[in-house]
Amino acid sequence: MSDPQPSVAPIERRVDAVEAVLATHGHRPSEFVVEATKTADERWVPENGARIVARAWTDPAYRARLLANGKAAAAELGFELPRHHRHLVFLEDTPDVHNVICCTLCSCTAFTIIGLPPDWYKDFDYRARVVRESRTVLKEMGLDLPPEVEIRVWDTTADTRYVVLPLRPRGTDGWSEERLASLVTKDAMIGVARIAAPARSS
Amino acid sequence: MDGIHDLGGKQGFGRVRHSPNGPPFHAEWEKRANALYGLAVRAGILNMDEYRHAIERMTPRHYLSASYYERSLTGLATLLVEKGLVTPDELERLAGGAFPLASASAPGRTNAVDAPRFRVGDRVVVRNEHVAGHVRMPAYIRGKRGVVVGVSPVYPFPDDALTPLARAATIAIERNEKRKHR
Repeated sequence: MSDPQPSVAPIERRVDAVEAVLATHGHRPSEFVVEATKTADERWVPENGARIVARAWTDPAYRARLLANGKAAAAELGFELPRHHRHLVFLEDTPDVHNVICCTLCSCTAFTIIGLPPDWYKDFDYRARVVRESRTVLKEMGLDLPPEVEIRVWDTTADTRYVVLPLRPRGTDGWSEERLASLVTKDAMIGVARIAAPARSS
Repeated sequence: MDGIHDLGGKQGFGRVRHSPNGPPFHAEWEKRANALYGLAVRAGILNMDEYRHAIERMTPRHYLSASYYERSLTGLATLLVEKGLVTPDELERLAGGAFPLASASAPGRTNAVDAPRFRVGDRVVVRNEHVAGHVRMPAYIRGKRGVVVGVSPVYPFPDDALTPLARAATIAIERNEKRKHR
């Protein structure tokens, strides 16, 4: 085993090694992994953001508060952000303006509100291209916006997190907040999808 | 730093491999890697700015060939070494093979206490500034003209997170996809 350039250890073994170091220093990593995974799976879900969006669609006073101070308005519904997410900004879509978020430097999102970022959001292709050719990228992703709609791309920083407040779809008059929330997806709150009007029969 | 991580506007990349509401994780080890950096932050071993910078310091070849969670793990492991919790040799012994880490840090900026206070509506030009250490300004906005559309609350200056005085301005830069550059 005197190979001067040993091959790189499999990634699982490298995770094991880091976990072992933290365990040696008394940090109980295996317990934390269980707890953190449960938190991510059960508490950091897009249903949180969906509730905020549905409330903003049905309550104009709440909408105004949300646009003025996203963090305080999220807290009204019981949603917290990590301490280092100091600023939460909701970006209001209109018939003429479509917002989309990204993190060109890495992967920042308001993950306690919309859930952890999807795989493609962290990929190089999205990070590199969406700030340069947003209309093309969105079209490739299935969102073909009319040319007259202005696209605003928001590059998330570490301390300011953005969430898109999508347009309320037509055909939802009189719907309850809960039913409206069921339409709102993570992709819509990132801004790579618009929320389709529900089928007539439902 | 003008690192490989600063991808905004880079050309030559391909179609986004998008699936509706794509999953954040694809394997069990990814969940563990993600939780372990969270643990290190919670335990006060490192802060978020150090962690981001450690990822940015990965060699370009490694950065581009590593998956997101491998980059995260590499940043964490690098800081565990730099903070003296483990040696590279011990990490490699534990992992049973080579454990590539990020390169050393270069000097960054200290916080400017006289930094300008921006107001919404101010017209600004982004500094054409090159910083060897950690910086949050993506290269593609250098020298661009814009309008301040938002101002953040005060938060720790990411280049030098011991001096909690910074405030960020969000600026709007107009560009037309069809227009040629400059």
